[in-house]
Amino acid sequence: MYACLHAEGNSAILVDCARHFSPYSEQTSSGTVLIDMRGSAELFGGPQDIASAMNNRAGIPVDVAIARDLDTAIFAARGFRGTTIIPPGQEGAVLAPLSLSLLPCSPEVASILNSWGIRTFGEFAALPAAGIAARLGKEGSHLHRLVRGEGNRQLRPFEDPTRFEETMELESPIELLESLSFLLGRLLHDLCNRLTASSLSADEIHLALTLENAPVHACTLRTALPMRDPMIFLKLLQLELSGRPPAAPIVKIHLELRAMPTRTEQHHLFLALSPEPAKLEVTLSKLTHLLGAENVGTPELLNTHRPDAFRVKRFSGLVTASKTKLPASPALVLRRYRPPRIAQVIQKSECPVHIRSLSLQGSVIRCAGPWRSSGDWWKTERWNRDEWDVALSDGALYRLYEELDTRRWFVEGVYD
Amino acid sequence: LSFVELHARSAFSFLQGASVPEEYADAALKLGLTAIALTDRDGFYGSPRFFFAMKKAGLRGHTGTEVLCTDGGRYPLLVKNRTGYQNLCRLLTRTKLRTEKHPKPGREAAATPEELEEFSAGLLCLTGDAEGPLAMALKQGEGRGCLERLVRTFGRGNVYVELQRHYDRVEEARNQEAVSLARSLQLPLVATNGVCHVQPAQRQILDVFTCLHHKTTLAEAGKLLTKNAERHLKSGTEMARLFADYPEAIFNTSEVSAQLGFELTDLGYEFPRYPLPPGQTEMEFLRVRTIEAARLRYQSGYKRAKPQIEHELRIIENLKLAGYFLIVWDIINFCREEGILAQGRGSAANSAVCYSLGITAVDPVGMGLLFERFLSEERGEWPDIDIDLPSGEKRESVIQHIYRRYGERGAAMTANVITYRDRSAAREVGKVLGFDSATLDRLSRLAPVWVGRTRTIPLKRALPKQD
Repeated sequence: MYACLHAEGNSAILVDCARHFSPYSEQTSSGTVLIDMRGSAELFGGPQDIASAMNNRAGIPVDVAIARDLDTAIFAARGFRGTTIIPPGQEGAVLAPLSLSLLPCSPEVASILNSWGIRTFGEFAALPAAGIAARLGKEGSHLHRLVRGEGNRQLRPFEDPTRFEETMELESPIELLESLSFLLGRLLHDLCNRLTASSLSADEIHLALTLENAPVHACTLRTALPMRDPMIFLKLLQLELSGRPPAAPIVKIHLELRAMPTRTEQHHLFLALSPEPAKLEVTLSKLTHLLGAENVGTPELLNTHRPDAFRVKRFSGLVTASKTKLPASPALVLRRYRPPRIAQVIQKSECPVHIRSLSLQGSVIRCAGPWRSSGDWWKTERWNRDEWDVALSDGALYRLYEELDTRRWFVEGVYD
Repeated sequence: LSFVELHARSAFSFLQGASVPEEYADAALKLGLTAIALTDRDGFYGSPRFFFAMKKAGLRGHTGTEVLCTDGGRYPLLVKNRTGYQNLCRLLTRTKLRTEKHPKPGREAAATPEELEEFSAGLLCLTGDAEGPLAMALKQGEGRGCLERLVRTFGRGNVYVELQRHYDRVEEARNQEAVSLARSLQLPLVATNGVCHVQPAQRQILDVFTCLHHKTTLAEAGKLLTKNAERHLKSGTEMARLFADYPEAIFNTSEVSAQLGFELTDLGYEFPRYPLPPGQTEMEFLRVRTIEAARLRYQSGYKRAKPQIEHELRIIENLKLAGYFLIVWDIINFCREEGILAQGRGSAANSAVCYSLGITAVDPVGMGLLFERFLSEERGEWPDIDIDLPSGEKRESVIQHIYRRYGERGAAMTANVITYRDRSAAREVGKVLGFDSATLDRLSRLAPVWVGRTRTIPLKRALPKQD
């Protein structure tokens, strides 16, 4: 059983009304909303009760039609004033007096029907189906089924763009973070209750504080995993605000959570457990507060030949099985100096024979190289260098490199 | 020490080589190289241009190719003699014919190890670079097995363990393993530079080509790009210095070069044989058919045309091209019998023999046309007779007739290699540099302004002009 509400120019009211009755509704055009009412008799009663409830809920004059199929409900709601209940099997008879102008047909078919003298649904429905198919083709057959109340349209329910946001205007401006925390706690509590009711979590918090005689103070916090614990969100906001407090008294608070499906995780038998998301978020937030966002995360090698190229990406906290095959024998590991140490190098037949830098000095006993690399030639920050692996008289093995454009030498690191 | 570069790829290794064959000939002269082997990927597309450019420079241009095998390795194969060339042509044809027209990555034309063995006669195999069979086997710890298989396939004396040095740690580790295996199996070493471009600066073109090949931009290509600019053509001195610890690897390049006796002027090509009545030669048959047809065609003017026809037949006989004319005549006859409109055109219209046989429609004697524009003993070129055919099914029926009559491998379709022009090149380079479409449009519009002029206008000055 489907209901159709029709009221020109009142789409918002109709959509709101539809949501009250069913989570499955569709706005077909401005002023027409379809509602799937199947299985709702226990809640709202029979068709007549549903129609009256809808009229009451809408609060404005609404044309309501209730029918077995969607197309019939649409035609009835658009064609008849007030409430129309169409009993199953009576669709064709009820729709018969409606004008053909309601039928969504192409100008060609409309013109043909007009030339035949067909003006109403009933007149069209009375024509033989085989003849219609032969003369008007696929479109004619489809329209013929519609006027007989035999449409097979499916509901295309719209996504509910529910936003989890709260706004609070303050009668008197507040200056203290403690007072603000109290209010934020209340707002977060309400929002998280709504999230729980919808079986959702949130992975992003937007806070906008309207200030007295100052620009809006806004911040966005992202969590590695979706969660819905108001205390964790509050702790994250407190850390953020203590690091970057608002510049003036607050007159309005706007808080919004970005809803995400709640994450369920199947733990791997042979993997270490991930840290608890809530604790991890708070720890990361504290570290970020101390070290800066660019210095907290997981290092990730970049896809380039540029030596020591990596970036720090946000720490996800997820433990996954490594896909990298470990070498059978341990490889030589380079312990890099960051930044590399400037060195003075004496060469003989192009090979380095003596090195002196701030922390090391010695003669080269053996060397291998040069290992040449260059790249990013289309950028201003291109590189072009020769590397050497050298065994020094101090017994250690170092990596040196020479920047070929500047002829400067550096000690890049020591091999373990 | 005399060094010969035995592993070089030109721009005919489509988007995997950055210099055209003529650049190799010019650079070889300057660097004092006496010979180079061109080993483009899966084809001889650049070989004729390369061979003749080298010949013009007084140098030797060896023929070869890198053949992809189903085991994933790219085998650099060098042609020693005519048998080797024929074998390699047959191998490539077989692999291409069973591959779809635009194969997806990983499904390119590839020879099976059995096919490599079947067509190995007359070929010399190098073990290749990082994509070669040995490098791939070394990764799996199966280097020795790989070399033993190569010796079984190509024969001892026809397998050389290839060393390349581009100042790379991984490559050097591989070299050391390869040298150790070569010594234990008593296989000779050979040094190459796996050349992809002539000048060091052309590395930039190679990187751009790599991006086009992988449909990405320079910013995104990452490790697909070359690590340095060392894959350029190097002189003997430079290579000898690089391989100072393996002088035999340099010496062996000359030895290999001496074994590569094949030249593209020595193809030994024969036209398919036209089926003749018993006891007649092709020339006799052509002469009889031509005179017969000329009498009908010229009618009363035959006497005037006869000396020209005799002259042309004499040249055709001297150049041993009677079979060729009979084949064209046969095609025209087939078209006539099938009611297919077929018309010879181009320089063939200068030939009274072609006119007599009904291949062309214009009387060259009456029009006073010069036969030597079509065929000349001095030029030493093969003639080509273009025939216009209607498109569609009729054209296809002629093609099928040719295949039936001369064998599936005795006839072939040919294709052009399309090259970048100024505007398309500018657009493609702009794409890999990550320009937006508006900038690309402006850049390609500017192309004729800053390319191909004696005094070039810097791009920087040209680009800021707003529309």
